[in-house]
Amino acid sequence: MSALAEPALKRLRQRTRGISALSIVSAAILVIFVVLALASSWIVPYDPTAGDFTAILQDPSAEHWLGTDQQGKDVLSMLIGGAWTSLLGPLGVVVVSTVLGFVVGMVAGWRGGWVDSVLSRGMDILFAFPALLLAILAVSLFGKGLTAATVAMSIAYLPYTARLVRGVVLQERARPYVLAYKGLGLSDTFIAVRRVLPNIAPLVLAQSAINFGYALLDLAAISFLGLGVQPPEPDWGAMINGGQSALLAGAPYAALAPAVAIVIVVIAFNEVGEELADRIQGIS
Amino acid sequence: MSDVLEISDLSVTLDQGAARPILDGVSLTVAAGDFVALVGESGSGKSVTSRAALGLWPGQATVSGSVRSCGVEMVGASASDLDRVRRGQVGMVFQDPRAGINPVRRIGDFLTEGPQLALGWSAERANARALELLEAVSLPDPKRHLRQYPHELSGGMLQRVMIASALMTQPALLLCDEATTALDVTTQAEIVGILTTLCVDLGTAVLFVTHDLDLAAATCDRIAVMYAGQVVESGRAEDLFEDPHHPYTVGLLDSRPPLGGLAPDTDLQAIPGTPLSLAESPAGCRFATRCQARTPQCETRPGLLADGVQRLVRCWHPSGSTPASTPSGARS
Repeated sequence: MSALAEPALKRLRQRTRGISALSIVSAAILVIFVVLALASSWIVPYDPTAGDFTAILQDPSAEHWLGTDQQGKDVLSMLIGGAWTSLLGPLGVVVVSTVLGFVVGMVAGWRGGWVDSVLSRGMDILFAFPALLLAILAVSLFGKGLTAATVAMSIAYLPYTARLVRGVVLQERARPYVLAYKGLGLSDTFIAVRRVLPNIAPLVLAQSAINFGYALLDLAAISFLGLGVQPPEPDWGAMINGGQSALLAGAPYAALAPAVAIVIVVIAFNEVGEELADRIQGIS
Repeated sequence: MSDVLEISDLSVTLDQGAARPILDGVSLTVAAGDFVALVGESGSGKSVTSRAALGLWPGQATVSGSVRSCGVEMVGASASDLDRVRRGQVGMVFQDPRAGINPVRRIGDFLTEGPQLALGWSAERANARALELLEAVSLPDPKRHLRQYPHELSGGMLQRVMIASALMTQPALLLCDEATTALDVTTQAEIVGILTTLCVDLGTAVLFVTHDLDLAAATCDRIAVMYAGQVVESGRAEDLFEDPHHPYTVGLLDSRPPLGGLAPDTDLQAIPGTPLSLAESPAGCRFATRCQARTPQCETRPGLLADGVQRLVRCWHPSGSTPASTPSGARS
């Protein structure tokens, strides 16, 4: 090890003290997947949308590391190419549901009274609809594709964030510093948005990281059902769907590879999210 | 001298879950530059009374009566009136500085953001004033403290920051809600010293909410004793201490452990019974169930009667030298 690297390593070790090895590995896996997704068009060995009928249902080999599917498409290329849409969808879901959840939760928790009752009952009603059912409804209204599925999922995930935000806002609103701000003559909106929101944001963002994993799973299920991303656009859920027949034909890799990728990413997101939530709750 | 705080006949009733009002006909005045203590046990309504001066009412409550802070009526006040009083004229120091200061913002932000955001002060002006006040509250190295976070300071230091923050705009009235209760005794003495010196210098009147009678007597000109949402006795600090008239005040003073220790074979005197809960609403005197001098007359509600010079007592049978005389501001 070079002399220069040593203090840097020492700092890293200090910073990561108390974080479980599993969380560090999970975070590393997520970084790798994000990099793969961003760089996909430069690093894929083959065009993930182009089939090659001279090489269908091949086992892993030096040319095709994860084999090929029944159209002769390279599974590794599809996996890397599909990472982009497979991660972008859940990202959209998490961003939209978190932003809306903040708005709904803040208003309900801060205003209280009938506003809170109306919004909270609304969230309860949304809770009653399974996410997949909402997605099927959205697809039947707006047509198949990633957008409809993402919008539906965003709505389905909204109550999780909104409830959490409302809960922590209720807690935070009762803290004396909020009263102190009121005593200084600062407006309610200012206190809520500029002072309370930043204090509760880390906890809510940790929950969003956990939601990301679930959203990825749900969106993959929608694609698997043929309602989400449409072939030949690569997507992990759609790949599992497409790989079903190959699975029966004795070439499991076309379905197995994206399935394993989904499992790994979901677990990694859960682990990182839990770790974040634990650490943030430990601090506050 | 004009009054910076005039509370008259203030009643606050919770809309749900209480049989009696949490404040019941409270009247209290604080003259400019005056130090007034509000004493009483937990739940007697001290904090609600002091917060009324800022128009901060408990949630879902009905308020009647009048509270004039620096000439502005706070009961049913418009948002702009509330802002005017809160932003510059009345400051507040809270009991627990750790909870009363936003933990994620720097000390400098806490001190300067009120005047900057609410009054439009420039950053330079607010910073200069913050430094000046941190020096005035005897915080060493104020420049460094401005950049620190609340968790880096001790409780006593934070309470000084809190006092500095409340005095940023040189308010006419400072509300101290149990401002020294969360501190140890030596720090308490220091903080009270700083507070009194600063407020005398600035000509700021102080409403000192506390349950510590000796502290109240040591710092304040006048004392108002509260019990179950009512002011039961008020008067000059020395008069009240030397010659308490209301049985509750007598009981409070008797229940203090003497400095030199108790005489052999004597017990510390306690007030019998328990404080009135919000679920109880006696028709007569609030203190009657715990009072040794109770008579059938106590079944009817006593008014707040003038009882000597600058002295008001809410009792049918006040002890002490002067018997109850002409009703003043008495209400049934």
